[in-house]
Amino acid sequence: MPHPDMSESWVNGHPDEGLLHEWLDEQLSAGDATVVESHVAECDACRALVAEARGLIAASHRILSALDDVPVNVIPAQALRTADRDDVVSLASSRTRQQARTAADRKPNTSRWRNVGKIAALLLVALVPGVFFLRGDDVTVPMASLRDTAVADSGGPSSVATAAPVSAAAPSLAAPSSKVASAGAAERAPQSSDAVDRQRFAGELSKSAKPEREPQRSDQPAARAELDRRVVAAQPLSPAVTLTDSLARLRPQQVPSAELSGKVAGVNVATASTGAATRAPMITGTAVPVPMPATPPPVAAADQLAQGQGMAGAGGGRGGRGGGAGPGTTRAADSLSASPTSPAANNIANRAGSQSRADSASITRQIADAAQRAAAAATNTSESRQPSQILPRAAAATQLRASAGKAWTFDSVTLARTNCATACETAVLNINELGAVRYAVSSGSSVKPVVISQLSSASRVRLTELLTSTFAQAIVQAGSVRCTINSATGAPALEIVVANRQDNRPRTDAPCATSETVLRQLAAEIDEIVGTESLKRRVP
Amino acid sequence: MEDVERLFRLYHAPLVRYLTRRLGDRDWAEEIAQETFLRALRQESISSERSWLFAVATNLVRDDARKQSRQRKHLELLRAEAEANDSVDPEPTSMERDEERALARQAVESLAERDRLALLMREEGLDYDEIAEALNITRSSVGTTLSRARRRLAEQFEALQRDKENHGHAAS
Repeated sequence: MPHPDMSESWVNGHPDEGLLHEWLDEQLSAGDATVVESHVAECDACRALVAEARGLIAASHRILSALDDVPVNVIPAQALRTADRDDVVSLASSRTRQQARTAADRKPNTSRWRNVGKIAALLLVALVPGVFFLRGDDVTVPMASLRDTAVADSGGPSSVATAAPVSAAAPSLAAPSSKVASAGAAERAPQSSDAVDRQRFAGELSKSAKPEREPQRSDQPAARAELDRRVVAAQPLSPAVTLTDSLARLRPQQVPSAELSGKVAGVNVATASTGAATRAPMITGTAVPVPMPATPPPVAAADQLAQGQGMAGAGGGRGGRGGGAGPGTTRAADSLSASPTSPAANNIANRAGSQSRADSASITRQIADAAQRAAAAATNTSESRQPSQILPRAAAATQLRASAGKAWTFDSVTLARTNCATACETAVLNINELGAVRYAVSSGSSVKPVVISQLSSASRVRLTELLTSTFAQAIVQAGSVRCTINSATGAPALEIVVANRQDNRPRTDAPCATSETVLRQLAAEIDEIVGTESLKRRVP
Repeated sequence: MEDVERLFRLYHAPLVRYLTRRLGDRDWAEEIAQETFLRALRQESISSERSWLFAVATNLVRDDARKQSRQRKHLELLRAEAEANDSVDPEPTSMERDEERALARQAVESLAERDRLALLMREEGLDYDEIAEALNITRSSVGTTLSRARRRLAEQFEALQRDKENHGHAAS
């Protein structure tokens, strides 16, 4: 006999499908479950329905589990998820301490939190890779940007954005024993957010993201430099190309003075790659902006690819690229241009340009030493780290973002390689801001299928760091940057276009101030991140 | 909110999984999850934690999905993903996984919004009371909602598989 409360779920003396599912989901009370079970045991029709319901439950579970399948070439996000967890936990703890300061009687052991927070801050920066994407919405600001905003708010526009401005209270080390307030207190019912709520939320986010005022954390340059040193010491080494590697590969005639001007002014400093690399302290100060070119270069077909339009079923419009449609010169690397530079970098570049190729190693050391001296003079600090440590790229990107005043992201990056050994074929690799990867090979009018892949979060972070460290200020300030390496015939052998989205800013191409060697290295690293070789195998 | 760490430890993974299944984009899901926990920070107390978290996350998805650029790009990825399934792939294992995932995605998207959400929440272990609270429906209707969703999902998936097989046979 069904319970009176269940009567509406019984139809003609039989439980309806919803009730059976509720029973199978073990959501009925003991009494109700007994009633249903007894009935099912005696009713063949209901027994069949139960069997069908079990099958549907299992099938839906299996189908939904298929959504969890990880695509090929995707790094499991567990590591990143751990870092994200630490981000939120540290922010939570920071907020907790902030609340404690305003209501001291509510939270005991604040000093304990501080001590634990110092340790956790160092651990946190060792774990967090630095998440970069900002979706142009002031509500959805990732943790790294929140931290940057917090530091910028506390220290002004010249403050350093590091990975650990938010002092963590190390909940991962010592879980608090406090409990969530019991039910009865008013809580806000979940409602759809509106514009007002978003603004308030964004405001509260920025407030809550501000770091606690630790005794050693102040706005004094010396104290900040000390924090920078700790942050730098705690950050993991990046195996990717750094400024050091870039300098090492330079030819004397093509010192990227734009890079030097930016780096020397204090965005980031690495040292010579001749084995005596040291980790220089993070530099505070405003980076020297790279002046914009007077006239941007013409938009080429790669822009269309960079915008992600027409990639599927690419038509003949891009077929022309196989013939070298872009403008170019007859001399390799002549299409690379340099921006105006600072006097110091100019002097170095001039000296470098006058020496022979055989002296490139010593020139690199000179450049790096000069950069380091300039950086040291800017901060009055001259600490160095162990010889084998190099300033990680994440720090460069973070500081670059802080100096630019906003988080940097890219719309898309496109690599176009043209091979005219037999018939000219252009292989185009495009990655958009969401990490969607497209690859197409075109030769004349025939187009081969586009292959799709998806970068993991970690790969996207790596890619962003790679682009940031290579193009420095150019991308931050410009709409996009286009770099072309021409073959001996004058056709572009390799073209890299990085399109940058700036809110409400017109997109103009910045000149490429990067050497051919660095560009080739960049292309190789992008291939490695994206897994271009596996994409090639998919294309018949 | 003093115990956000505990909430994070308990609910972050299932929340991300729920959002990933809902959105088909793990990065997006993690962003929404982060924002959900940040909102939890602002709460003095939460009586029904899990349903509150899932409800807030659901609302955030709904609000976020209104942004045209996100939807357009998401659809573009879906379309591109579907096109990729038609491409020649020398790696049958990954191809089959991609196909199944694409079919599962289509089947899930074919459900009514409330049915889909209820099913995804149930998969993450929310009980009927929590689902009712999160979706603002009566508890007595949760069972019916789930049964309908499960049946529809299975039937749709089966139909999509059948269509794909027929299409493959016709092509050959």
